Amino acid sequence: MSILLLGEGIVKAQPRDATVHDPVMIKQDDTYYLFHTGQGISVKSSTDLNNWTEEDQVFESTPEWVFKILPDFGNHIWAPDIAYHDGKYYLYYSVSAFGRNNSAIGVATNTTLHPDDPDFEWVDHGPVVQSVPGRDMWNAIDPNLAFDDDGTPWMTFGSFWMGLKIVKLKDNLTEVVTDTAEEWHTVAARHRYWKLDERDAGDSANPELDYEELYPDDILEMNRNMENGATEAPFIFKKDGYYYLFISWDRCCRGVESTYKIMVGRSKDITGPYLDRSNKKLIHGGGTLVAKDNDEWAAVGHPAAYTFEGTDYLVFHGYDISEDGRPKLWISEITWDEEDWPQISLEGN
Amino acid sequence: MINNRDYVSTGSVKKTFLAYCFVGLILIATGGDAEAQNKKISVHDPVMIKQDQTYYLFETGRGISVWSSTDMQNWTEQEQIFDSAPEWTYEVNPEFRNHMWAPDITHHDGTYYLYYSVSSFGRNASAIGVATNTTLHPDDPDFEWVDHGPVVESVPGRDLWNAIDPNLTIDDEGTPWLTFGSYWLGMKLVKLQDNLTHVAVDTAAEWHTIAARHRYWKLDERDAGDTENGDIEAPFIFKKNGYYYLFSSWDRCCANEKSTYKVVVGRSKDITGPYLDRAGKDMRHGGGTLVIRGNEDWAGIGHNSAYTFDGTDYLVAHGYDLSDEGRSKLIMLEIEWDEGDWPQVSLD
Repeated sequence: MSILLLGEGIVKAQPRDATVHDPVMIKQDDTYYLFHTGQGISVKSSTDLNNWTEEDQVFESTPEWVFKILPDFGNHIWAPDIAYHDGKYYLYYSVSAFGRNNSAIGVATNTTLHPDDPDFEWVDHGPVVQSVPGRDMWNAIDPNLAFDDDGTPWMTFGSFWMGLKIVKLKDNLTEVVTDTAEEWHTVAARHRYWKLDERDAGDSANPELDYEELYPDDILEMNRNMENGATEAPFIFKKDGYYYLFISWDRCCRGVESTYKIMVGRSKDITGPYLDRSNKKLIHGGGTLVAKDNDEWAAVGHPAAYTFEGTDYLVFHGYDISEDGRPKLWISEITWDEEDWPQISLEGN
Repeated sequence: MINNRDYVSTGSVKKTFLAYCFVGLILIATGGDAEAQNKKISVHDPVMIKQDQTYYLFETGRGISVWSSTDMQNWTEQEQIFDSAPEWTYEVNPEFRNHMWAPDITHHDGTYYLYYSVSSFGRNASAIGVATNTTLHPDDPDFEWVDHGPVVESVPGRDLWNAIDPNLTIDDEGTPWLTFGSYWLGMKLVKLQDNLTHVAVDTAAEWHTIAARHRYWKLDERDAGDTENGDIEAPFIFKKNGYYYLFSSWDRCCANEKSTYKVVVGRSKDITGPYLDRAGKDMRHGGGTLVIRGNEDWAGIGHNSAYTFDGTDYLVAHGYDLSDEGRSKLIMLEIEWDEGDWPQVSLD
């Protein structure tokens, strides 16, 4: 933690004053930039991982292509992902509507993240992946870019429905590979009852459906209890010869009623199979718990993982019980146990 | 010309070879005139249409097999549609050998639309293509098939359905839909653009699952399923009595005497469903009313289409002939409608 030594002493790893949802982070020069769900994608900057300054949103107005898919889109963009590759910053983002998989993942690039740099300009490249209700049993949200050991780019994303996907990207990082080289895999999933309506994510949240008419009581109860494929927000982190796949289980976005938790599995191959600590496949509902609720936090989830100055961090949000369940930024140091499984602590803040 | 049907594989190579020679000799001896015609023709996944006084039958085969008849009894084999596979098919499947499955034939606004499936057994690296022609008469100077490429493509690991077994239907408002599939999680219906060669996209995109059977959730996503997991395919929609009737095939095709293929049906007032069987069970939840299955003569019967020719409704399908080592043969049966407007056919 020495890099965080400032005038006020060792910085707390968990600053409670930043309200964020689905945070991702990157460091350019001496500045940390944090991107998260918000109007036009919200941006914050910090030099100490503790005090955050609000920056201008990425998109003043929604890219035109979004309206072809979502005519009523209000520019509230979800769950971005930020990566630096070959001199460019790639910002993936989700356009969707709650409870539906009429969604797409777009990508914008910039050569710098410093707003005062004369070269600072976000260039949108349009959709990378789109999901269509009735066609796809997955949701094109929550992207994360990862490179395998051969330098091939992959995007993992999703989901609810039937789980989290990984798809091979072209070297331009803005399009999926097509034709004979096209490659898709499911990397994590949870049980979903086969008679659920295909337009239902698994949580009865699609406002277009009449659930009382669709389902008997026991199915409604399964949905209420998050027993139908409640997994989303994949993030792949390479460490110790493994690809670690962090995912979130259960219910986000309900303040103190949220039940979000962070799980992990790992694989020697980026396409899987990802196994948890007890060797259960993540595509069969496996997952080793990393963090969940406690007395102060109703739920935690949507992690990203980074190494800054030699220290590994898990970045996520938690629903703060002391503030009526507002989502707050968490930056938690990851320690690795003797079997190379990640550990974080929500204590001592 | 002689078709090479890969799925007729249980007989010895020698027998198959002799059978081809036998048919070949007849064709040579008679020059292909009416005397050579065949009543119990070997076909798979037949569809049919009438132009002028001629019935044309299209079916699974190399480059798509074609037969013609003037009486629906005596059939003459015609030239295959594709001498070689369209170039785009190699982008779907580099090993594709031009063996095309399960075509669908429709006449719309002066053009014949022939949909077809490009796939490989047990995998969903598949696509449905479409070719058009202004006439089906091979001796017409305008006779020429024009391929328009893929309409729908399925990708392993992305899609839990299979882009095979297409059937075009135009709903009561004139909107074209393609139903197709599948195994995996069931049969799809997708809205087409007015050109009938592309699916509707963006805000006009519309997809539905219209029939499915249970599939165990831990099955590998690259596994189509089996007789206990989502074995349903070959949808065909037939409008009648104010309903859209959805015919589908259950269980195992393409296994000669071991085939257990059968035809089930459900119906809906809306082309997008829900399709209910006679008991009111949703076909997406495994519902389906039995129309026909195997008996002492036929191991299994399936992959049907349905047509009205000169005021009579017909079910066209193939059956696995137990008297001929389970080879698949053309079956055409008149459809009768019971007092509840459900279709009835009989093999007797």
